[in-house]
Amino acid sequence: MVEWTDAARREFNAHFARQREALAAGGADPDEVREDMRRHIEEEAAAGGIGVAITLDDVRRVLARMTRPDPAPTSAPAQQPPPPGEARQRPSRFFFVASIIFGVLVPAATLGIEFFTGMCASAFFDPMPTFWHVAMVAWVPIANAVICAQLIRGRVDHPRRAGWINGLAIGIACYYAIVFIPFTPFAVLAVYFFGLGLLPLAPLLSLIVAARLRSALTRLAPSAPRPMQPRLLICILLVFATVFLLDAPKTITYAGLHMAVSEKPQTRVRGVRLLRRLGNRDLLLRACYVRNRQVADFMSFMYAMFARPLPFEDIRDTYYRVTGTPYNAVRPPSVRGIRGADLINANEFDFGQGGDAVAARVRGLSLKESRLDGELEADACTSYTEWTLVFRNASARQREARALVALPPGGVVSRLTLWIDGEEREAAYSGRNRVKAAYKRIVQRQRDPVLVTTAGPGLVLLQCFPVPPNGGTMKTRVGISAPLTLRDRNRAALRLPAFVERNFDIPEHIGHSVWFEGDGEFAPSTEIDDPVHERPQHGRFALRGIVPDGQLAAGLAVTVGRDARVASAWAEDARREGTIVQQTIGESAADAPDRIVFVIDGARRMQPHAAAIADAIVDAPREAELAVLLAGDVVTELSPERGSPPRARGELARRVREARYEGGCDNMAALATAWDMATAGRTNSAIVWLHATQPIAFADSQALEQRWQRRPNNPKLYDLQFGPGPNRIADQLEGIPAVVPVPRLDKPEKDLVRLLAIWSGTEPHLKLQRQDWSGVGTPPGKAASGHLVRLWANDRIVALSRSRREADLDEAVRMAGAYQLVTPVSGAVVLENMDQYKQAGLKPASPESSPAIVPEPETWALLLAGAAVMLLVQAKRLRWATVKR
Amino acid sequence: MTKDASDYFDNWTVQVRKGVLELCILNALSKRERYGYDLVRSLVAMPGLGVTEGTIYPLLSRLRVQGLVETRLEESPEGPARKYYALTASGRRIAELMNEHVELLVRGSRELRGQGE
Repeated sequence: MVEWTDAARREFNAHFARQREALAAGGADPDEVREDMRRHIEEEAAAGGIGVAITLDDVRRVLARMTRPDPAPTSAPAQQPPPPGEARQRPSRFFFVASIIFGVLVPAATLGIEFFTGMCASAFFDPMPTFWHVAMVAWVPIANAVICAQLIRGRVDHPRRAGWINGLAIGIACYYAIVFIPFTPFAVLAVYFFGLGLLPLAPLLSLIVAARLRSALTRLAPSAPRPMQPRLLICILLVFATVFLLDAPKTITYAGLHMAVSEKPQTRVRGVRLLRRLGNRDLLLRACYVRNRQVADFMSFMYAMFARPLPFEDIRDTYYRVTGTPYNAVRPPSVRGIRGADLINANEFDFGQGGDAVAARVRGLSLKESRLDGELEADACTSYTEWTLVFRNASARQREARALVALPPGGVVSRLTLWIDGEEREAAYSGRNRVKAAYKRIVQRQRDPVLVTTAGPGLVLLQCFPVPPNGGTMKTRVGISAPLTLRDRNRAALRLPAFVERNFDIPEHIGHSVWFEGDGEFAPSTEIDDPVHERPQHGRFALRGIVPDGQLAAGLAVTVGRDARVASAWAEDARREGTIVQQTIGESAADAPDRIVFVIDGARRMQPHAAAIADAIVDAPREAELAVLLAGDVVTELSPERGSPPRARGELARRVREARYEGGCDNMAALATAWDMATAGRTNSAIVWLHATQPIAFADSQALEQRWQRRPNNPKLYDLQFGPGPNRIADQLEGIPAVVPVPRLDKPEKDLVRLLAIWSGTEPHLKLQRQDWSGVGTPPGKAASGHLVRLWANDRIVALSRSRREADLDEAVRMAGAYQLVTPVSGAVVLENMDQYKQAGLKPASPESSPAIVPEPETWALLLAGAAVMLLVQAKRLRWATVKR
Repeated sequence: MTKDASDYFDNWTVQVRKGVLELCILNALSKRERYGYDLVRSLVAMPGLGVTEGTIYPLLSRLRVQGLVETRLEESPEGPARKYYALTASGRRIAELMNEHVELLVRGSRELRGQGE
């Protein structure tokens, strides 16, 4: 390595700084020449000509030799006087003025106006959807200004650099001129007749100016290479390639979208996979909303103009398949517009109002307060929970609050209250259609109803209208009677109701205030913030605290201790005089299936659970044959072989762990395949369906329904959902007795382990059974509240509702009205006044017949009777004692 | 030779060398690529051309900018990295045209001299 002294380096650099202009004017690259010279000197030094260290004297000597007057002059044209006539080629003053106006000011103004107002974006398409588009557009006026400045100065220091600046500006202006071609004729006419409409012409004007500037540039710098470098075609191609790359995700998104809604299944799968890997999520989301064709970028505009329009439902389904999240579960896309930053006001208008679906979040609507009050009869295994909700509407128009509520397992809505003018109004209970019609009629008149109807297994749809605008509130209460689920004979649990879907926000600071009391001691709970355990009186226990909605939605169960010796409970049925309903705890032998087909949802949300599911499958009953289907974009069997010896189970678990879980998947086909596999040659088989939320039913359930209608008892389908959210497939399968939800007490992984443990015989299989007491007097066991009777009635109504006989259905509706229950055949509605009830042919329940957290009248009566008996017995003992003495 | 005649001759050679220098560079690269130091040394040493490094390097840079030659760098065990020059297809074509033209001029000039004898 040859060293330079500092002085030598300074001298060398100074020499070339002086030469720089002359070299550039001669068409050479000054930096390159300097480097070549430096290399030459170093090579000479290395060859021994100068020495190891290059000194100032060396540099001076070499430079003197190199730059001494040539015997032959260089051929650099810049060192010659300019050719005659060049001065005449310099552009005129008019040229400069026109260039600055049309090539700098007009495009700059157009950029500013579009950037701040989104005028074109709001009316047609967004010409600058990304920062890079803005930068590209800004390049044009800046480049034109720079070239103009050089031309005005009359000197081009760096012709090649100027060539790039101008060439790229021409390329960009050319692209936008093409984009705006459809508007150009109208803009020309508008300018001609009205003097307006210059903005759409800005790209074309810029293009003309930039092209003229290039021509002038060439004339001014005759020393520059001919043709001017870089070639214009290269610049234009470079710009178009850049735009193509910028728009590639959008192009791919549209292409993928069309593939994903294709009639051909294979094309659909390819389209979804393409969108997952390369698609633009934001664009996909925009396409889900009504105004997508007006507000998307240029590619969207072109597709809207020329491509086959796609149904919104298909686009929304595709969004779910690609992302694993329903389109309405994420914030609507924000698009700049003349009215501000939210051009897509997707949640400004509530399209779902008065309908049967929760639909998208509504602007301004939120939950203001929430409290859950519960009474648990641990020994009798019954419970009653009241969920009081206050909605607030900050928007300027009336809103309907809607929520899909998951009930505790086996629960039934037995009370519905609405506060009107500060007073509690109870609901009327009647057939679904009648209460729905009454509700819709009132919604149309914009008065005060609240409606609750069932919406699938274990779900009810709550609808409240109107939540008054401008900060108004609406308060309602839903009462739920539910059995407790037995963990074992010593412990029972209540899974709390939770929102599955909602169209209102829950601010982060709002938690659900829970307060449960009962005759059993509450187990510690980690899901409740700052839980307080109390014993308000002897034999009574309380648990209270705040539960964040996330915890509630994930599935929260409170566990209470109970007296294991109590194996039955009873209650008098006040609606059937002299009848007693008895509930017994039965322990049956595990009916373990001999073949288990696991169907695992291949959705993205299942990824975190894959390892736990794999572990659970390994521990499935040894005697059972196992098979595992992955319900991904296509149905894939993961089982290495049927019969599953232990080593095969290890391989099976590995495949479950390593399977790819992506987007959202249709599980219907996998369930049908599982049914076929489960029934092949077997009569006691089971399908265990492990899945994330199923917010969309992609396919009709007829094929599945047919299978179970023709073979009603085999196989059973055990449905276990991981994470909160609706299950539309379960909605479709409602009423099929073979479809049973897995009892939910813990995290779903633990519930799966418990199910398999019951089948293996390592966990007890305890069941509650309710029936009329046919014996004499009162049955043995614990006296319970009227909720026991309501639960019996619910069992009976559900059984009747599955009948095809009209008389049975009528009886089901009659019973639902009499027992004031929301069932598959009935609903509850609160109307504003008696006139409205009369018009609807409904009769509201009286507060006296409605359940409440405070003990009900019949319970009071039982307690009083019990106390009287105790007093009587005590009095008799005292008398006997006195007599003996 | 008188001083006037000598001056005249010098001026004439300046004009000739000016036009021939670019052709010499292109010809020097016509058979193979050469690194800068080697190329310059051979041109400086060429009898009758009489140029310095200070003239050749800017010219090489310009030829590269014009797309007639292309360059690449290669590490050298003996000194700094060497910059190799080679003719581009365009440079090769231009060189052929220039050579043909010079041949034409020389041949014509000789013919004219022959006619005078």
